[in-house]
Amino acid sequence: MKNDDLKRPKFTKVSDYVFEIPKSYVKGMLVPARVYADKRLLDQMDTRVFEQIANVSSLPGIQEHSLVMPDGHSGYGFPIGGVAAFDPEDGGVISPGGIGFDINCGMRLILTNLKVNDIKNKIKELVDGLFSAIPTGVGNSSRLNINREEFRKLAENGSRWAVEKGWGYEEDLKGTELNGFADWADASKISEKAISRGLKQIGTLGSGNHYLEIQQVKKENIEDEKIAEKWGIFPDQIVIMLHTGSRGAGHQIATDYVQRFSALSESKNGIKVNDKELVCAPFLSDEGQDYYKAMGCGVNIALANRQAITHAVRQVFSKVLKRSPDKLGMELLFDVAHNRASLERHSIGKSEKELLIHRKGSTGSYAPGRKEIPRKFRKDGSPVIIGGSMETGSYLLVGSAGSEDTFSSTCHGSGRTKSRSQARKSTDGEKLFNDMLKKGVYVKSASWAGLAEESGDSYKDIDSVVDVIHSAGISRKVCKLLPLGNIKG
Amino acid sequence: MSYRFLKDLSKSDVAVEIRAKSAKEIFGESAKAFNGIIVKNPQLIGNSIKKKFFVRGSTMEDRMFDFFDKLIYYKDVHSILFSRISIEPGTDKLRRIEVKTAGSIIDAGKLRPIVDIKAVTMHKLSVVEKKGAFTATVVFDV
Repeated sequence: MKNDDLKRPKFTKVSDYVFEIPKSYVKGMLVPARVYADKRLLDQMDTRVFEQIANVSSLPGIQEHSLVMPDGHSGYGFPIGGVAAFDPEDGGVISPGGIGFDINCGMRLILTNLKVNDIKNKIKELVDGLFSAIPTGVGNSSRLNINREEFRKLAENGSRWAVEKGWGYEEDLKGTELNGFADWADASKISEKAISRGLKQIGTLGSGNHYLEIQQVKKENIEDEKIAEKWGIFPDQIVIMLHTGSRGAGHQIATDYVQRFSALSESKNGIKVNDKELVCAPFLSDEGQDYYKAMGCGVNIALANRQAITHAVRQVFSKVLKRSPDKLGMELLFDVAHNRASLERHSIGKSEKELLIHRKGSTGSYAPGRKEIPRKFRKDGSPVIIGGSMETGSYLLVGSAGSEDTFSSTCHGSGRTKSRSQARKSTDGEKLFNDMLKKGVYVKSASWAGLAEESGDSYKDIDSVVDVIHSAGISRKVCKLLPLGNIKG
Repeated sequence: MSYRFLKDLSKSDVAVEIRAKSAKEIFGESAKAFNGIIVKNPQLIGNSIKKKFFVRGSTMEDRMFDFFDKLIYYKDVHSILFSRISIEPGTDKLRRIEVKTAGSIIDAGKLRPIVDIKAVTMHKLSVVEKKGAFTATVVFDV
């Protein structure tokens, strides 16, 4: 069915921050869709977001309702900021388009014991050093020498593989979701093509909205002093935020399975989808299980990539500041994904079920006590890292009880308001660079046009987005983080 | 320019509409769009490296998907962008198309990269024929 001429839905207001799209909006919807937003953010969302989440609501085995987070914007298949829970025992599916092609794209936050005054005259040197140590942008290859056999090990062992290579510490694994690796990954399920694309990209940042940022914690931006102190956050502190994923290998894994599912979806499994990008397979089918194991490799590739970059960051800081990473207190606070499907137990009505939660551009936000949370954070809730635009800042939050209503999911960023071509037309990259420099943010980018695409006004207001998830009780603010230096692809 | 950006189709990724006078030309024009998204100076892509590959698929959309997937592979694995695409007359009606290409290694200083294309998607993917002319709609993950 084509939905090109869809009108905006008639929403039912569930609460101040939750709006429901009825099943009658699009023929075939099995459950309603719920949008987390305030009125202004809801009005900002384009109709395609609602069309896309309605299509998600039509997939077999979906439970309760599909969800859009307040940073939701149109993508392909699922909207960005889309969440859906499928019951494998009820024919529930797995869909590459519901996870995103950049499998396990995510955020990492590295702490330091530095204060702003310690490095205020070294920002340019640090940013330039990071830019030269970490390949960014199109055609810039990894300097790590990894052969195909090693890549297969990496794909099954993630950060653990990188730490064994000496690119990090055991402690890093305790600050990473899944303790640093997806144990269900099986490298025999990924293609040689995916391996070829991945070989030269471990330890690289990529382009688009991927970045690495030196940030500061201002005293007035700490909202939860108790959690901040517990997690090692303090006023005037310097921290480093990283946003990247599984690079070409992850994209190839998704592409390979979209092609495979496409050939089987209707003929073998009898699943008709409203958008070809939603092709899927029953989770318990052979092809569904194969993709789950291949996706696990994508998860590990992204984790190894972020771990390798973390190693480079530590080396650069150590070289510029002439102290070891230990002496600089460069501990990993947390590494969290926003493009992944995870098997988790959630309450449906009066029963508890194991569900496959698809999060595409949505971060896991786990309430205190949940077993998905690494032990050192479990009592308080999972750290949630939300990357904003390079002009406006980012957030650190903690998972809270309201996330039980969202299958432990929250937003992942601020969400685009302008398409990339619109942003390039309205913003001059070089002027933006100079304007940011005047504001005290030094950016090094592989491309002026790429920089223009990531301007602050291409995105929604991050404060409004985070206010919604905070007020809805999904994730609670810990602190806001402001940029001082940034490298982009 | 034989392609235009579709700003309303996807906010986060890049959607384009590509036009060509024939089925034979739609692949060449599609490669131009691909290059134009990735680099600022696609006219400076050389032609010293020759490659030949096959594109498969039961529909024109499937073949277009496979074609872009191959371009992405050569870009990522061999750092090549292609300036010339040649398809044998009539082969586009078959499930397998032989594609001959000429291109050059990506020289970032000369070509000035903008954004990377990491995957082609099936979202709204279409190739429509009208009176012999072809229009393709493609969304790329960037």
